[in-house]
Amino acid sequence: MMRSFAARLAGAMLLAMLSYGLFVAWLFHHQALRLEHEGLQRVAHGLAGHIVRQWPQLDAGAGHGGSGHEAPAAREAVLAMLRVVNPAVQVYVLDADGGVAAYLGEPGMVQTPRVDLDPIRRFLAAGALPLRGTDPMGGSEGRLFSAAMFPPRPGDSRPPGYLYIVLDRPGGVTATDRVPSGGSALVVVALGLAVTLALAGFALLRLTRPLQKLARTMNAMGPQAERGPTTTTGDEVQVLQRSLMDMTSRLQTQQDAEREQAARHRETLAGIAHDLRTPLTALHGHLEALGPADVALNDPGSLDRRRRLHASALQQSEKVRRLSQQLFELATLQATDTVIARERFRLDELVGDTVQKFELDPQAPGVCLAGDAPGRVEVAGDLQLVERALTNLIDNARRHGARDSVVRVGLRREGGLAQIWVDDQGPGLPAELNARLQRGQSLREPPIPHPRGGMGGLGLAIAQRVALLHGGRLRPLPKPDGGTRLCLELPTAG
Amino acid sequence: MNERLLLVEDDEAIAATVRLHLEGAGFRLHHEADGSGGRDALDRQRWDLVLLDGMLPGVDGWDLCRQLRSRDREVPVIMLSARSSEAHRVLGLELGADDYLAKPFSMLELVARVRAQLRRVDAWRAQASAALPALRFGPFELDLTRRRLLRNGSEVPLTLREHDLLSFLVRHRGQAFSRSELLSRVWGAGFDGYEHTVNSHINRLRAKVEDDPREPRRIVTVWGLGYRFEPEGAAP
Repeated sequence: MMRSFAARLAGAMLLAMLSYGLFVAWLFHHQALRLEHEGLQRVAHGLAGHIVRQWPQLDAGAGHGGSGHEAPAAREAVLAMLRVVNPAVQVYVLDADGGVAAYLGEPGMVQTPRVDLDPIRRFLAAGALPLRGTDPMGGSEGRLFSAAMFPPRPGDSRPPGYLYIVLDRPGGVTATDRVPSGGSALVVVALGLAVTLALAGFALLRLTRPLQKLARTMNAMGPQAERGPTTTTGDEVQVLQRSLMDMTSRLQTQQDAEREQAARHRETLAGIAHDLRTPLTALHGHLEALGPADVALNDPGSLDRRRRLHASALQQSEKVRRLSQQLFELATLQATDTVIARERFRLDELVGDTVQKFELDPQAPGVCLAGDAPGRVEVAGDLQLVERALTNLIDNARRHGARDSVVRVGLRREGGLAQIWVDDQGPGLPAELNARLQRGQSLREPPIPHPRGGMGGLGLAIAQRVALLHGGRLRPLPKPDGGTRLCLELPTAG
Repeated sequence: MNERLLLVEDDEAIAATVRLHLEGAGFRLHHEADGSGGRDALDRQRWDLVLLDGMLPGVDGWDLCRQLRSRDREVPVIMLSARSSEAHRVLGLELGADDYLAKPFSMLELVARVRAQLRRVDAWRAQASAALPALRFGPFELDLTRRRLLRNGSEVPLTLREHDLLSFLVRHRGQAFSRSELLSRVWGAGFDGYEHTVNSHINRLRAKVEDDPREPRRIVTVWGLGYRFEPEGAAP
């Protein structure tokens, strides 16, 4: 079965060329035969006339009832001469009505006693050759001939008859000669056809290659995840057709996804605006309160108020700074081409160092290491990002933990994974956030709506993305005594 | 206090605020608004400290830092950037900056970092002029005056910061230090957000002074405490 478009085209072209070739061969054969017959008849055109002139006595006594003692000798001489030249010739003497008066050969061979004179007359009138006349041997096929009218015999009132020489055998005199040259011609034709076909096949392959390339290009369009398996069945046009349909479908899906993404972006922007507006409003209010209108600098109460306003303004400014930092980090991490700067490092050291960082912070609740010393645990990853993820988990636990409770951080090795767990005694994760972490679904795609509006949950989204970029994950673990236990899992270095 | 500081920053608002705080702290500040101006200023004279914004019109801050480092290893460089993710690159071997502040940053923090860097340079100059004796451990000899490390007489290449960290650890052998302590005593500042640079430097130092960096015996970890230097190598 032909699979490629080029092969099918070549097949169709072969059929067309074969048909055309057969037609041309038939025409050629027919024309050649006609020319051959014409040539044969033309060469022998004057033969009968010559014999009649040389041996006018050939018709003597032929069916005339006259004295024919000269005729047999003449007929023998003529027959002997002609058979030397062409053994197939048959010589007949006809009367004026076309009746076979004599046959110069074995007696009893004549099956058709009367010959149609019309072709003979046209022959004598120099009609267009070849002309076929009646086969006196009874053949249904007309025969090539040469003919001449006997001269009138003095004293004989009857009209003169004709000498009728059949030149070919039934089925064609030169058939046996033609076979070799016809065979060679067929071989040449077949060879020519094969060479033409090979060249055409090569040209078609070259011509249809862009179709294959186009199909591959169309198949490769769109994100990898949305692409189906490469279509290979059928020829290039069928593959192209399927690729076009696949691509159209993918574009449609992509368009839907983009529309959905645009809606999510709008939602995210609205959330950012909300989150920024709150501390900025407070900050602006504090700065206004600190402005020139409040000039009672000598008043101790006023100075104290200024200090409080200043501290509060700094706190709001810090909120804005932190939010912008997290947004920037998340945007960078969510880029599809994010490449992390990997280095091999001691995760046990990093966990200890990060916990110590929080120990220095006087704000409650405190943070401490828990569990057994894990020993050397090495990871190949981005130090900065892993610390950022762990910092976010601890920070999240501190902000949501119960007042005066302690955030506990531990590290253990579980097979090929390093598990960092962070415990708090807070109210637990919101149901949607917990469900997404259990499923391994992104916390930002789409964003989880915050009950009070705004974004919420950026720190955990960053930690989740960092885990994913390192081939790990962030998941909640059961905590029977209440609160939350989040586990950051990272593959260990071999 | 009469140090001359160069600030290359294209944002006029940030430049004005930095000037307000640094001049208020007693420093003399020269400001250039683009990379080309910054390069000319660096070619024109020697500065006590350079503050570079990462993204600048003309020549960017990263290139300026690289060019400056190739000819002057000592002048402290503080990079200012909107991209906190570049800290690794900036503080590492690639650019060799001394400190890094991600925008938005606190101006008080900036002033503190500038002071810390200037103190560090002063300390190093005092140390260089004092012709201190070399510190020895195992097959190593740490030449504090010429700031180089020799192993059985062959030099082991160290960056300035690696040298500072190693010399601190060797001089305080047997004592455990938390990462925060190492930051404040070797780096001279808090480095909020990229303290991990200490972990990176310890990794690199281990590759140079340990017989098997994956089983460190000289720079060892004390779980929950920090890092300790054992000159003769701790027991496995």
